Amino acid sequence: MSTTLLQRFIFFALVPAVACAVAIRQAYLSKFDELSTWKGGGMGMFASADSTDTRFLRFYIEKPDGRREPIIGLTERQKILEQRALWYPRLASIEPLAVSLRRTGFVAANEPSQLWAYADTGEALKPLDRKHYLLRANLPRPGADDPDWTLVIESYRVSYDPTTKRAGYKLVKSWNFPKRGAE
Amino acid sequence: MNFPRAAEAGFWSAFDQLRRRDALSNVCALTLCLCTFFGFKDAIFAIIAQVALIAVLCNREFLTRWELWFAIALSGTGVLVYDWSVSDNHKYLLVYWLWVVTIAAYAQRYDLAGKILESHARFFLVFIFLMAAIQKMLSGTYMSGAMFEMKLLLDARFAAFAHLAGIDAGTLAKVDLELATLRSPLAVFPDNARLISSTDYVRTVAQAITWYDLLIQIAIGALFLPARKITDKAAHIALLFFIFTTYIPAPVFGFGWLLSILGFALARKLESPIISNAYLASFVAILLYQLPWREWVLAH
Repeated sequence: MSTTLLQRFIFFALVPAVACAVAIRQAYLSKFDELSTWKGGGMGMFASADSTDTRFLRFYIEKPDGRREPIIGLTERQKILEQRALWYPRLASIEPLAVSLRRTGFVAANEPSQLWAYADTGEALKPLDRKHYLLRANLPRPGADDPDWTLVIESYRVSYDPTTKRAGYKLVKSWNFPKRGAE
Repeated sequence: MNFPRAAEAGFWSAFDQLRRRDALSNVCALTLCLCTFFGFKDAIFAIIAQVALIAVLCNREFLTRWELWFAIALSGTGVLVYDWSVSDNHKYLLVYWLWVVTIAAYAQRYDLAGKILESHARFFLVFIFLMAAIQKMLSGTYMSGAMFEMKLLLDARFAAFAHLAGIDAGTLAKVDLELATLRSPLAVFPDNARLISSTDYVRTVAQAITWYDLLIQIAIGALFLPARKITDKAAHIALLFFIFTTYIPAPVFGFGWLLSILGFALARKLESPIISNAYLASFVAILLYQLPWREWVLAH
């Protein structure tokens, strides 16, 4: 049985064409929109220090007076959402986590924790004049009220220079999730 | 005393029988194993792959039916599209390969199945390895050795390998703590940076892995490109070496299995029983690599 040109294209070229198109899209998103090289079909596994080891998120509750308290503990489900968001930190992947956090109640120790200044060798230098209540996600808040604070989520990337043995991080993106109607 | 020799002959003749079956049947059987052992964990895909396996066990003729592969490929595509930004690159490769098998099964009526499998196996082996190599060469964190150094220091999956390579567990624990301090919202470092306790030895090991990984990937991709018998032979040897060595420390068994399928599909053309049998042995090796040796190493 003979085949038409279209059949030959489907039989031999369609799948490679799709694979190439997906790889080009992945390269673009990886270069310009923070998609990890490990994901998205670009075949860049082990191609750069760009996985969940080298990305992290910080969460803050920002009160109307501008004071910020960090959230340092998430529920198991929120940890899963966080891991998913790390591979491609953008509004669509962060939003489910933000919605979950805004519906959560938090617990903290009675006393706030002291901020410390460190030398780049890791030596603790002096206490700073700031303290934070370290918040841990607990249970969903009863009722449907929307709290008055703004949830701030910041995405960071860790870099490491093997010659100087210095590791550092920088802010990549930040999102604010205020009370509904207060945007 | 003939028993061991007879058993050995039986083992190799089983390999030979497998190797001599038509390409599509072999590739379909190995791909169905891939779907059920190392496929997507999502229920829809897992159920369809398991039902397909039962159907094939009940009636062998289902194995090369395009409708069966279409169902598996469609469910894999659905799962991949739904979760595209968190799906590993090798899951994309799995879905592409499922469509190749579907097309090959459909094209049996045109007597093109073997050709389709071979041409796609070659394309994907070149594509995977050269794409990876290009990205590595363009990546500053790869070429500096920082990527593998951080993997050795931070990735739990590499802890056993680091231990075997003579990297002190105390160093790993120390770096882990140092980076946790760096990330802490209660710690303020100058320029958000600090020194960490990695050693020159860790850097040397990382550099060695970096260059081995880059050079073997370039070699495999480039050697499969010309489609000549001599270069293909060298490429198969390099690919087999890569499969047998890489998936001991790197627990990405699905990817290793798929590479073996691609190599096996292409090796038919060479008509070399040694290479084809080596690919069949690589499937056994990948299954054995699942043994919890990392835990044993770390415990001693």
